[in-house]
Amino acid sequence: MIAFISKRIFSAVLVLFMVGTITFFISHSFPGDPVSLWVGDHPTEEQLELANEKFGFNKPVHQQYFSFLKNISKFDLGVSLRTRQSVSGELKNRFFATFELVFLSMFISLVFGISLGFFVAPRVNTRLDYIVRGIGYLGLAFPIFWLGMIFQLIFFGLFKWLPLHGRHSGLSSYNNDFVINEGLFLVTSFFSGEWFVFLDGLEHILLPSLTLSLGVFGLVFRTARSSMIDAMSEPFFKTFLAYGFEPSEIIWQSAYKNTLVPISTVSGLSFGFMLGGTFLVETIFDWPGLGHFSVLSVLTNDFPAIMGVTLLYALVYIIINVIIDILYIYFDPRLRGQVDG
Amino acid sequence: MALVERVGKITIKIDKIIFYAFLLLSIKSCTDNVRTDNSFIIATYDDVKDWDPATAFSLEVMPMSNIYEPLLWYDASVSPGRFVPGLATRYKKSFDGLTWDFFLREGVTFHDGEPFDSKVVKFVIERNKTMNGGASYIWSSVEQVLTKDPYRVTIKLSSPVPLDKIVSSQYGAWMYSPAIANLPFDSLQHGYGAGTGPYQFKNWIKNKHIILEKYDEYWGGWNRDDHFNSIIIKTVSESSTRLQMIENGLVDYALLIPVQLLDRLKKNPNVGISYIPSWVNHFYLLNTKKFPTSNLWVRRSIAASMDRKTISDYIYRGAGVESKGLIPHNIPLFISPDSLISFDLIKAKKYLQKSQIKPDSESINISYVSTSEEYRLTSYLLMDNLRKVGLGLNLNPGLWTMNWDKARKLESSPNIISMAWWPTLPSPSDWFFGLYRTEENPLFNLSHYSNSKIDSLIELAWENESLSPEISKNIYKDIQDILIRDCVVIPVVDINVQSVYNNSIVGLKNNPAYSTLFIYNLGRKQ
Repeated sequence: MIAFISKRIFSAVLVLFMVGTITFFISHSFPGDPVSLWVGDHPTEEQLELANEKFGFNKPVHQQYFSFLKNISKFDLGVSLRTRQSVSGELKNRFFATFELVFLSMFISLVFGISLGFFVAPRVNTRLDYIVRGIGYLGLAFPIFWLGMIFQLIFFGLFKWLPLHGRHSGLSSYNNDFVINEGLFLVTSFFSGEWFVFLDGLEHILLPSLTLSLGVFGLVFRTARSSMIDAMSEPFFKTFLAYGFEPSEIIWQSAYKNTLVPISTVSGLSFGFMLGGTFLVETIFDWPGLGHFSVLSVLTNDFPAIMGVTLLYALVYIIINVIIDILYIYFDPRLRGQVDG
Repeated sequence: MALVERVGKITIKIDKIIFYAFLLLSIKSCTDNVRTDNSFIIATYDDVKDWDPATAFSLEVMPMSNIYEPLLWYDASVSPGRFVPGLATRYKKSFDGLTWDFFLREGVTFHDGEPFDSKVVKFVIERNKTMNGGASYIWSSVEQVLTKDPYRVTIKLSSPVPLDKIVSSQYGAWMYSPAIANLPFDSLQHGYGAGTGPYQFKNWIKNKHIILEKYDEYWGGWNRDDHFNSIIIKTVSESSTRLQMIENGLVDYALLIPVQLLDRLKKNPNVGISYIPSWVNHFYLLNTKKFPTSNLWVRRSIAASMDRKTISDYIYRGAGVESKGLIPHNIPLFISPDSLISFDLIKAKKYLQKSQIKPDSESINISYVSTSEEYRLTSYLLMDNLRKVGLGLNLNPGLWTMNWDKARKLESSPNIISMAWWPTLPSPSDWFFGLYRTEENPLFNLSHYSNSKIDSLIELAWENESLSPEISKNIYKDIQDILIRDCVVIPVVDINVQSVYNNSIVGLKNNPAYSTLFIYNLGRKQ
């Protein structure tokens, strides 16, 4: 097992290196003077030269690449040309906002997708099956930005049930002198017993997480449903039925194990889908996370920031996939035997 | 196994949970969105990035104009514009325009308690010059700052430039506390402000909001009942979200709502929309060094194909009026040039014949900012008109930074490039210095134009602005006439800035010299 994990970590480092190199050369091949972001709208020639000197953009690309590698080995991602803040600081501040959003969205997708998939599997082609399948298809078919805007119009514009945008009201920090922790906002407010702040955060996260989770819900639901239908055609299921067990009992006590591997695969892939979805959802809901930051960085060709977010997204995606690989071994005894052997 | 069973039960109860959640939200919605604060809330599209008043050169003007004050303000809301006392109550200049005395307001303190006096003015000017960032170049003619008296400062210049316009600039002329020199660099990174203005910096949450709070010791006093206690500037990058915020009364002012979404707001009795004249204009620079626009008659043919009226009426609608000259018509020292090349496709064809370029044999390219719908539609209209004339037009949309970088190098430069310009100072000189002065390595002279006569006229006009403004005015007209004759630029529209506000706000006044709102002057109808 240790050898397996070490191998995965080694390949992860290799992938990160390749992602970093490819992104570096692509972002440096874009036309445009990146320092124009730094110096403002009407700079002088001298200001441009000074800025180019400061960031080393006047050096040959290969020298810039070696500086980049040197800095990255010291975990220094440089300074964002657009925000003038350190890229690692920006990523640190925003990572937790995206983490909470993706985690909650994933949680909603998995809980509802798996449980409804299992629930309708013995009720194939019933009205309930059609309804849930319909919702799943709609979640997959609707463009995420459109869905987000429709949710805003309904839940904020029409009913005024949920807030329009942002991670929290923010004004609570102003009126009550409560210092808002921008990290794991929901978690810290929950454990510190700041219920007003926690509920405020919960209200704010509901619409973006619902938007983000609907597409993945469709995928997870369909996978859970179809793999459970497959499991139900297996001889062991029929044997349990012959012994007089109810289908739901068999599903929740035994058959679910047969679906864990395909569901894990879909979950890992969906995680990537969700990370991509944050680009749109965070922009629509002004969620101060990595997706929003990435969009603005790409639009302005802020390449220290582009490098930083690409590496971080790649790292997270790799970690998730390593976890999924480990879960395969845990779920499937046949694989466990191969790894240990 | 017990856990799995519980999951099953949770699913069954889910409908009840959803029901209670919505019930709770319905009750809560009755109490939401009722504004009980006394804050003025603005929804803007991007965050500030530089908290140093010496170098800030962009959207920072919104918070900074409420935190800081300059020595003089320029009031362009009246015609003709006038200087209004800021931290200087009066000023005088020597006969030769090289020595300026400013008499400072007494009893003024910065938000950090430091007193304001002549030493502060000296500190600010010298520090700004040393910083060499943002609009620090405005102080380049300052040779010496003398502080013999605490409330009188004497500034000696190397050339007779209009110092009253420089000290009233919206960038780089704010007076700030000398305590900034002792601050660690980090403090500026996390938001900072210590000026003498009516509002003081309270906090900044990056990409979320800036909060400014009333400064009780403000020298101007708080005499009205309806002053706002605080200002909240929210960063909301998505325009449809800003639209919903103003629509639902969550904010008092929203910036940059797309024109196509405004129709929805027009029906809302709580929201006011107006277009106010600005000092921004949109125009197209023609490359004078690159074939075929290196040919004057080709340039004239393009200029005669630009249908300014249709563009202002149907593309910009209320957001722009047809240009009358190369600079906005409402800027000080503007006189209309003799004539602009008018839209006439028959003339355009004749010009092309004179160029000796066969119709339909050549094509030119235009580079425009891809995020602007107005530039895109204008380029399409021009393409259509040029096709009738016999010139092909290739469209090259792109981000401004990319377009600019390509346009600066002759080999990659386009024949036509879209431009927007606004001044740092209340003077036309900004356009001419920036866009048409000879440059070895073009910075903004993207038409690659070089004319020694224009170079000397620009200097002359600038130096006469304070001593003989009438002479200056006529020189600016002459410069425009030469540039039109040489067909270096096609002016299109003078921009009207959109103002979308809550109708309960009173006191909104337009001063094109500053791209901001002065919240001290505003109030809310009771």
